[in-house]
Amino acid sequence: MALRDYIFSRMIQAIPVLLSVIIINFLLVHAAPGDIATYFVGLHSPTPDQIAAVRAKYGLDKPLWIQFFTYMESIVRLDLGYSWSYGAPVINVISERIPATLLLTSTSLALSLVFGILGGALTARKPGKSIDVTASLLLLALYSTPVFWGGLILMLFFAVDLKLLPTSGVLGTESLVGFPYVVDLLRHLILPAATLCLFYLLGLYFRVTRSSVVEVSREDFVTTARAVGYDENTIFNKYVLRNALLPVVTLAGYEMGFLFSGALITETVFAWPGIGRLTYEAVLSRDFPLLMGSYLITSLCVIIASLATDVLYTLLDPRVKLE
Amino acid sequence: MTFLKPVVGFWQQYRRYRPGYIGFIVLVVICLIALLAPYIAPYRPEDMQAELLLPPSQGHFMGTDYFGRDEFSRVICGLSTSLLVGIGAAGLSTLIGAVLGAIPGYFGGKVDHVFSRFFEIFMIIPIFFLVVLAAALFGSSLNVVLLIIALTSWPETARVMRSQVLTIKTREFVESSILVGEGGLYTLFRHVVPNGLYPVITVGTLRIGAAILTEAGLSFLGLGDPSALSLGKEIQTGSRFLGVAPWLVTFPGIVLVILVLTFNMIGDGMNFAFNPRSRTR
Repeated sequence: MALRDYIFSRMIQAIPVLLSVIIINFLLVHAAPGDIATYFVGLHSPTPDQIAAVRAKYGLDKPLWIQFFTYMESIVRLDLGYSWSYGAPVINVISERIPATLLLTSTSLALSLVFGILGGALTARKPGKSIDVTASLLLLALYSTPVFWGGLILMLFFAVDLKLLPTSGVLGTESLVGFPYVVDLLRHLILPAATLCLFYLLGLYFRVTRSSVVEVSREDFVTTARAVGYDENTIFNKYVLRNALLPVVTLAGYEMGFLFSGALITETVFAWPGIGRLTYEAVLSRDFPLLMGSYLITSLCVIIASLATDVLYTLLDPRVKLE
Repeated sequence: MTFLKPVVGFWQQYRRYRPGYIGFIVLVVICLIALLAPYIAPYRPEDMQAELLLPPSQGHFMGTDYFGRDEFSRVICGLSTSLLVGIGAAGLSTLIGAVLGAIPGYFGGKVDHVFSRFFEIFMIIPIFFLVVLAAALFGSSLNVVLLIIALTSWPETARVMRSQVLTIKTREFVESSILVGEGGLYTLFRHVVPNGLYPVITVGTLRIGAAILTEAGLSFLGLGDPSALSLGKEIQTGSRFLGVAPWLVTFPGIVLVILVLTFNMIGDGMNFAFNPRSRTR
């Protein structure tokens, strides 16, 4: 099967996932207590006209299955409703925030992959030694730390006490262009990206790399290479590490939902203007169309991101048969 | 006392794993503190009896908050919220996961296919966004939060249970149970599931830590039970005074980390005791 067909078939498989997200959205709103119409127009004393308009639009007086198709149809037209706290269509409000979230998530994913693989590979070469034990205890502690608290502690240390980095936001007050703009953006990016990496993803890749390296080291072809007389460093770099990295990449594809969930809290802590922070604002103002929309769009981002890693995986590993 | 034998055997293996042993002792201490919190706490957690934002001192071990309430009292009274939601949600999610994982594993074929696709969907979608949406829609009493966490976290357990059942159902004692005429579901839950529970219990223990973190995250976003003390909420309110009163963020957070770390260490210890292969790492 050609790569193009493979990508196409994976896209077909993504449809049920997206569909279930839409169904969950629909069912949750209908199961929630109170009048559904008020969820769409806002809870702050909506006028009867507004309620009537929403009732007509979503067919709220019709049977449930017709309502579902009306809802589906509006989503296909990219009409995710109207955010009353922003006074704009939900899709516009959300799409403005997507780049910031993608910048944050991809940066911390890259950081976690690099440091996780480095650390995991390093400790796996000396299993049971003090560096290995120390690292695994440290990781367990990081893994047990709530991401928002970790972020606040980093902020306290680097921004409040040392005043090295800005506490929050995405850009300083002055309007910058060109190189100074990029520097300013990066300065704001460091703390949120480090938070998401340290307290969310790093341990995962560290652990998986470590156990994968230990496993591959026991395989016969490593023994053979040793018997042939290659030195340990060549064996490790050329044979062990390369084979051990494949499960790490697969894992990255499965953890996209996890990554975006972490971004929700991290963005809230650092006022990073992405979808996560938007979701928090929607929670505060109980803006349900916006909240449902951001759940839907985030799921879409996650599905696309895991699709991309799958494709990347097949490119990296020639042994993978495209099914 | 023959039923105690496996427990004693388990304990003898378990305590050989140092972190697990320490974790167990710390957990006992934490549970005692949580239970006795109303008696240990030097002040009532809602009493505004001191000056505002006092740094940690002898009288106020963890300082005071913006309303002059004793932070130490608030933290130890908030422990029980974390413990209740954590243990309750993890228990319920383990129950759901064990049942929903056992059925497709045992019956195989089309049932298994449908269930597997279902787990897959749950693995991919961003669960925490779903949790936040549900908590915002359904209001946030402790019970609702517990239920939401349980209902969104079972697929991991189901996956483990399914693979356990897949290997156990081919054993002879299962076949003999079918041969003597016992029904499929009876055999499954009487003979297959009990023999595959160990890894499920380990995953369940690790779930407690994860559920505590989720509850803290929800409280941090303002979606926790407004009438219950919670460590996550303490950190959230404290974060507004990060520059002037960092102790309001630091102390509840340290307690939260210790709590979650404890359950993770116990989970690792169980894995060590149940799974002989993990001992030769």
